[in-house]
Amino acid sequence: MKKTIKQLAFVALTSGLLAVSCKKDEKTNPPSPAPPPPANEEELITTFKLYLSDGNDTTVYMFKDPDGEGGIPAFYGPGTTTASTQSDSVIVLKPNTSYTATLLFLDESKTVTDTISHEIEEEADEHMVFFNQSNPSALPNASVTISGTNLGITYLDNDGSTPPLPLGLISQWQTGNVTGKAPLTIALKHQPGSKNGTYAPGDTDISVLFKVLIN
Amino acid sequence: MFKKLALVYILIHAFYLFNAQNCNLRLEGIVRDEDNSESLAFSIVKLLSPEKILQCNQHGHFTIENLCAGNYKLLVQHLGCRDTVFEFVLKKSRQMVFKLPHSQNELQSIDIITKHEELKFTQSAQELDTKMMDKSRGLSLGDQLKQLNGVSTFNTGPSISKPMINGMQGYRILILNNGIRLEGQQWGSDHAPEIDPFIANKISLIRGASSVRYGSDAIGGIVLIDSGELPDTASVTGEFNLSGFSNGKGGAGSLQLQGYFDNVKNLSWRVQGSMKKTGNLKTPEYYLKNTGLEEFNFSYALEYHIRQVGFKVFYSQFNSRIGIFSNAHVGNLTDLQAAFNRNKPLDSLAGFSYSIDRPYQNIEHEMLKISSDIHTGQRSRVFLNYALQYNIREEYDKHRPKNDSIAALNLPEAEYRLNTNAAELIWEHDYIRGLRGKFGVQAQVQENRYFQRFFIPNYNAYTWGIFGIERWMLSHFEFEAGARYDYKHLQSFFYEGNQLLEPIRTFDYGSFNLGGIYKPHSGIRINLNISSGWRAPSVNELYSNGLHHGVGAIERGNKNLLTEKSLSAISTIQYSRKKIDVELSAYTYTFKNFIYYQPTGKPELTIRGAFPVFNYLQNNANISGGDATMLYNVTHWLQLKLTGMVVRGRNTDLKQDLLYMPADRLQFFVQFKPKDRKTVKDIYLEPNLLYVAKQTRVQPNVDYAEPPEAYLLFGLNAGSTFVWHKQVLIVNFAIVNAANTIYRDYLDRFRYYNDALGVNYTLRIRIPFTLYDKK
Repeated sequence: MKKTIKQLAFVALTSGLLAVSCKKDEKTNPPSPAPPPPANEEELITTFKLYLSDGNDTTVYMFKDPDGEGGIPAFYGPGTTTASTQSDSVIVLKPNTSYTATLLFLDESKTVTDTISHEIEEEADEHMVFFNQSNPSALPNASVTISGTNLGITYLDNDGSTPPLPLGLISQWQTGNVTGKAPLTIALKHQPGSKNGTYAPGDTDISVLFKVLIN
Repeated sequence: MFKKLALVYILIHAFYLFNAQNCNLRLEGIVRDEDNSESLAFSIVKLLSPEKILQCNQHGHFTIENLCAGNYKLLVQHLGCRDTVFEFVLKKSRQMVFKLPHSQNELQSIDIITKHEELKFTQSAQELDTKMMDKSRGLSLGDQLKQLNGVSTFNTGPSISKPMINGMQGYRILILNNGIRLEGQQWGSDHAPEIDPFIANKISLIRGASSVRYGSDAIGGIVLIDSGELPDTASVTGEFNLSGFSNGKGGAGSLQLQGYFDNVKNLSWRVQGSMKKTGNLKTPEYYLKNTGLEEFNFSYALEYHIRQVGFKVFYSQFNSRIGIFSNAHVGNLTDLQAAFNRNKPLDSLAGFSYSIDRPYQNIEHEMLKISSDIHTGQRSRVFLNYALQYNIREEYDKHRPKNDSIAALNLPEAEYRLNTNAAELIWEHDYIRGLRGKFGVQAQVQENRYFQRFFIPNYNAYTWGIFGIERWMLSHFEFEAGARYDYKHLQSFFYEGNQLLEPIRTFDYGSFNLGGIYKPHSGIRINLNISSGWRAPSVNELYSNGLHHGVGAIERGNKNLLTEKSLSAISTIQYSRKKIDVELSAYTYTFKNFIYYQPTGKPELTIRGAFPVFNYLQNNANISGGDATMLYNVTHWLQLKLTGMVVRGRNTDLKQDLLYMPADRLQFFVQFKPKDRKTVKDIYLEPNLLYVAKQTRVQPNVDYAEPPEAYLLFGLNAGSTFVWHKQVLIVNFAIVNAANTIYRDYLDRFRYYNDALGVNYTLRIRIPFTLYDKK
């Protein structure tokens, strides 16, 4: 009987040892079943703002997806919580006018708004803004023309790499004397290691569809 | 049916103490068919030295009295079966089951494997036998199971494959690791089963709803992964496996050791570990960037017997890191369209590399099972099992966050932790008036927590079930009836906007199973099984809401989903005569509230562009299908085999086809088997052809891209067993897609982006060895 107990103890000990010795990771889940509040560590780009200035007036266009893809539906500005109104997606421009366009990317899901544009500037050699997926002409004066209107967009900044490639956070928009309406998709591509001035490589960080109306 | 191992299951009832002088021992035996456990009436039993001849009764039973302790040889004969000699040691009176193989099987050594016999299934059951395992070691579970007719896989790229049985995958398939339900993150189509196939000594598949024993939700089928019994004589044995693959320049290896302690009586053990590593995989024309894979797994088991009680501890750990083809990672509809229109993916020029970068998945699964069995009399046992499972799943997106301080943490963008505690109490009895049966209660507590990005909510789930099965055996018939009741309580926790919701859903329902085997003579066997099953909607089907990054689509759950119920019939007919073996299976499922997901056709606008939206819906549906295997032994060295399968899924409410059903498939094998030599045995050379038709039963304009064209693949398998003194070495050489055919498969989600894999040469060796044997 004594031997049996000894054997049993041996089995219990070895199995116990083996069971606990494998991984020392934290295995226990947090005690509360409630998940952390939505604004957590994850980085999002929730808001895209387009500032258009003709030297006198500045107009702001906005597209906001408060919790990223899925979840709460995205909407066009300028309202902060209202559902999308189509009129807000129309960029109204005057003919024969030159505008300075400044693009701003924000993460407004955090308690303190995070300006993602800063990071894009820092990693300019991995990012590029595209208009209607068009590959711009070479620097200097890298530009694209928006078909359907004769709107010409010229990149005013570059990524500082050698040779430099366009970035697109600041651009000059020049309208002609033709009035009209055309779709305009503004996209920010993330192209680490593959940026070459064309649209194809990398991933889409932002892609927002506007309409340009020149009248 | 093609089992090459004759199995002898021995029932040991440790009620009589060993006594060498005792010459009034009693042997009670039952002679049964190896394939279906059916008792073989009026078999002839010859005891060799001292010679004794007797005949079994109509139930296949016989009794020999007044035997002394010692070694015995017993010859068993039955019409239609091969004469077989069984060797055994008699130390005390015992009850034994003698299993006779069919006459077409070859003579093999007889293994004494289990201490009590498991009930065979009345369902259509198939097994990956040692030979099939030898042809597939190192592959994923899904790819190994694909060798069985009727099984297909649902793939997300070349490294992630989920087994699909009778046109069903994911939640409708149950995987049992050594008797325990594998509780992993099976909700995603890009989540492979969290199990190491090297753990298996035997992999079996039960098709159709075998709802009663393991749960009502295994509507499609059950995959049983069994490590085999531990040794019960003083010895130390092991097995070494090594596989090398040309595609991906990968390798997989495993080592297993098992033994029985000489000094600590009744204690047996096993340790096993495996590793796998592959680099970038190659299609016929280009490498796929970032498609490497790493796996590291181990397991151990300990078993201890004392009198009529046995204890067993089993632990397994599975770790894998799977690179996801970087070009196939999430993109909006514009990017998706651009990807479809490219002949080659953009990253296709990437060369070979072993490195795994973002995007990748990190998966860890641990299981600890503690079980005990108590003999509660000569003919019954009680099992008490407890299992604990941890599952951690981390998904890393293609790019780190832009913010450097967040990026430096290198956290996964999505992480899920699933903990499961389960316990069961089962009572099992042997022949009482021709009846065998099992009764049990099971309970499970499961909690899921997510970190980082929301996709499926946190939840606590409590389930319990109760079941009973009885089996009635006659000489030509065998009937089984089982019933089960389950209850599930599910509370989920998630935010809608800034508001925390904690909805509770409860589900309960009964299910049944009626099965029969009819065997008019040894050449024909007919199985018929009718069962009902049900499944509570899962959390992702109820509450998922967001972008499923691994899939690149917005998925929206439906919180009003009801229980999915099924009624199914499945029948298998096996016919063998002289040179021909035929097996035909047919099945039909009628679903009430079948849960499926379907593209809405209306993309949703997000800040990253438009994404396709999939909604979870439910309707009445029917899934039916059939498959056939035909084997023709031309001569003793030439065998021809033809297999084929067909599945049809139909939404009967909307009168349209169900999406993601396997395409029709036909496979042809020619096997040459040269004569055995003294040192080279079991030689085979087996060219094969696989034809997969184009899936034409799809709803028009719903999928992103048309189903791919039909394809034809060539393959080859060759191998043999080398014998050198007592040592054997089993070798297999295989070529998959030998012609380097360019093709895409309908059930591969990456078919949108890239071709399927090109040629792959594989060399496998297996070395079983004995380090110590007291005999």
